[in-house]
Amino acid sequence: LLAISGFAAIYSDLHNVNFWKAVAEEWDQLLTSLSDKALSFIAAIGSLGSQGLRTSPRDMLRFQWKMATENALREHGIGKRDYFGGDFPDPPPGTTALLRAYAHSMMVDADAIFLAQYLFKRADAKDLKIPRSVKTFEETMRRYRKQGAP
Amino acid sequence: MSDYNGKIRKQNSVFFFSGREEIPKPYTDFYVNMFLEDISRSIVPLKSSSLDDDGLKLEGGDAHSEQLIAEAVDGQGQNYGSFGWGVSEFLRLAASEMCAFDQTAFEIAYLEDPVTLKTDGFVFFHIDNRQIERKWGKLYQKVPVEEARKKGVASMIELPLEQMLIFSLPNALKEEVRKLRRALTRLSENRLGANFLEMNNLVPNYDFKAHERSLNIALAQCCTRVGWDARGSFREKTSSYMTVYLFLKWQLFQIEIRKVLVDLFNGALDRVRIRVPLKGRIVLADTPTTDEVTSALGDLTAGRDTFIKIMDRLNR
Repeated sequence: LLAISGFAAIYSDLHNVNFWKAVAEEWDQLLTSLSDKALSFIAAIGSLGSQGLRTSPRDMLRFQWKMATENALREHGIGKRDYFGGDFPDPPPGTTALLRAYAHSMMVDADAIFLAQYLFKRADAKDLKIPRSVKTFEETMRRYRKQGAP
Repeated sequence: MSDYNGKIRKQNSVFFFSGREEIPKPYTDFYVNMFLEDISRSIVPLKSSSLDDDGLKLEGGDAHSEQLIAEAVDGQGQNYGSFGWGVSEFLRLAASEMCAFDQTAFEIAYLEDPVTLKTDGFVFFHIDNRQIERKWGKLYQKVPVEEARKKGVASMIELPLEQMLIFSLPNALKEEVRKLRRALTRLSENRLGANFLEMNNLVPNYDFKAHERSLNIALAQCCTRVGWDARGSFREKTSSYMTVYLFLKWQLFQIEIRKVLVDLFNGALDRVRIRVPLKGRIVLADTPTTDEVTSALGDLTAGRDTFIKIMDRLNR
């Protein structure tokens, strides 16, 4: 669910269609109905990838989504940085900071994007420990924004 | 010679695209791509929630040397901004590309101050594998004639070996990885993707269970030597002993790849030191050693310790 939500953010920017709004609203509703501990539980799930605990349920499925998304990005001239030679040096003008940051680091997955864009922006998440992958993503996005990316 | 952040960058190689409109084969094959991601991510494991602490250190170095190296690994303009983060990502990408194409190559381009004309920095400049050719013991970058004419360079640019950083697997390991790639490519074509839902209609008497079983057996057979378990694809069907055995073999494989990368990187720093004041060598602290894993493997096969204790000894 975290990954799908992250992909919603990616595809919203890629196709300029606001899937993200619907996803965020669903999460708002869901978290209202859950206990306070749910938030820290979700954050903990998100940090598993950061700690190198690679295998988790439906990992294969998520990897299929990741490959499909990389193909979609590539069709738009944005290369995901999984190896040196694969880079498109200059993504098309108007490529958002979110897309550039996702493509930037091989350690950033879709779940990290969701956590960065939604979970850790919530006021009630301010005391939670931010996973490394999320920090990497946020920092990279900040840099691209400084360079003028929307 | 070109301008690079206000410095003069001196290098022999040139940058041009080499059929990058398509994703190269290793990255389009499902299992190969997954293997490449797993090996590269495990090379420099994320150690903490800090952005700049992967257990990667510059032993005997200083802040200035860290800064020089951070700039050097940022030759693609990725703007990592720090030594730890930059070198970690550099080694991860190098691991991925080396295991995908047998090698990944960089020219060490030196940076010269335009006023003092002193060499005071360097950059690892990536060269696409498809552009590299070895001839009569020398290394060249092949440039298409039209491209060479546009850039005003030779169509075969000699690359001095002392100015190259080439991450390449030792022969035995190279053969192992090649075999694995070949096998995983074939299995990627037969994997259980979304299409298996239609198999019942396409193949009379299609048996999903038989397909899954044979795929898992094939995966296990080709992955056992390096210990990769395809993200637990066949874990439910293997004994605990086998799971721990694969874990340890995978640790040994990672150590070998890590050693290749770190040694070659440090070798390049040694050559740079001749021209640029640079101190220190990189080390990856707190990663399992060959002795630790070999001893754990011995204890496993002799039944001297419990599975959990053996795993715990290597979990950092």
